[in-house]
Amino acid sequence: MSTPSSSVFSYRVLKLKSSDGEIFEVKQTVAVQSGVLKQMMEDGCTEGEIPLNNVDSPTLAKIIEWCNKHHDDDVEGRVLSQEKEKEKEKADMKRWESEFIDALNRDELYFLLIGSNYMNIKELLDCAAQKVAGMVKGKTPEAIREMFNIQSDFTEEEEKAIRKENQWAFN
Amino acid sequence: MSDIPPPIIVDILSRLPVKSLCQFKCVSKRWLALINHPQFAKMHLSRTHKQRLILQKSDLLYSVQLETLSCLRNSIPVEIELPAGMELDYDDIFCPEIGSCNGLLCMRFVIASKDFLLYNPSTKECKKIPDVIQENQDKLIGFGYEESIDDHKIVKIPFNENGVFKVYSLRKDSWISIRSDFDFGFFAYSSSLVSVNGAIHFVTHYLTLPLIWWKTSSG
Repeated sequence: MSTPSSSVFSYRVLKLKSSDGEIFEVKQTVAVQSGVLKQMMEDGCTEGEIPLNNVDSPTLAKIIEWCNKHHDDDVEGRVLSQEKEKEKEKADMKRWESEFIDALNRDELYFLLIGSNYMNIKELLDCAAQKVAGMVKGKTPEAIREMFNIQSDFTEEEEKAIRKENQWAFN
Repeated sequence: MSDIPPPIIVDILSRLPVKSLCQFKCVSKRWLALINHPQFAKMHLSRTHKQRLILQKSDLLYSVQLETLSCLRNSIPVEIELPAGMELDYDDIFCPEIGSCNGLLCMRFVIASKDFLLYNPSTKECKKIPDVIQENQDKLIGFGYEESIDDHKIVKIPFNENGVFKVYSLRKDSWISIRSDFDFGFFAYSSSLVSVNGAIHFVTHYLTLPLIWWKTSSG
């Protein structure tokens, strides 16, 4: 048996197992966008199924869709003859990203946040966090408590004092 | 959206405008502590940081985004709202001292007080810093930030060579005195004073040095 050359190596696939037991096959070159999987590849421990206990199958499918897209359209990595073309590809990618994120419902977005954080996929986490920030902006503290399931632990007086101190922000 | 790990909550909050953050201080004790944490303020500043220039016109202050200055038509100065009673005490012969750094303004000679005033126009928070009494009038007053020691300082440069530097540290919330062999035989334009990379720079005339700097970390 000969050692695989680097080009053969790059087409090897990883078997990712979602929390509900579904197996997803992902090219190593795509999987490298996940900090966690990249580390596992470097440590040489990607044989067999890789269990991702925090990511269910619908979320993992979304994450892989994102990674495939960003692998195929690696704008920075490719040499494009035209500066204009490069700009256009970047703009197209931005549009694809916002459509991708906007299509998610609140639960899907939540699981994507958790999943991309768990798998350490920085760009996806960035995009999802930005989306949540947009949803949160302009909401009242009460709506925030409801959204994040937080119980206020302030007394009525304490809350009143904080509101008074930051009165300008409530106007 | 419950059970989001705290680091992601921090990440999300760091993308919000100051106004939302000030409202969200009353969500819970945990959120209040998080938003008030100096580390969070730094993270927020680094994410949203746009260099701004502070302009003064009589008793009004304006800020303008530095990056818009290359195209003057798009650069709109925004008036900085000062807290009630903290308006600048301005007349034709006298100009209040103003310095700015990391979104903080340092002012002296506001109407209600002769003390120094540190003011954050984004959060509307302000802190009075009692001035130290010095026999001689100060030649120059600078305000700056030194990253290596993570501290904001006010430096009072005395008028003559017998004078003593007075340095206020925001971290320690106190003034100290420093004697120095500084060459005082110069005239300086206080309006030229700026703080860049932890050093206060100002333009002088007469004598040898065209530009003098004073490192805020050395005090």
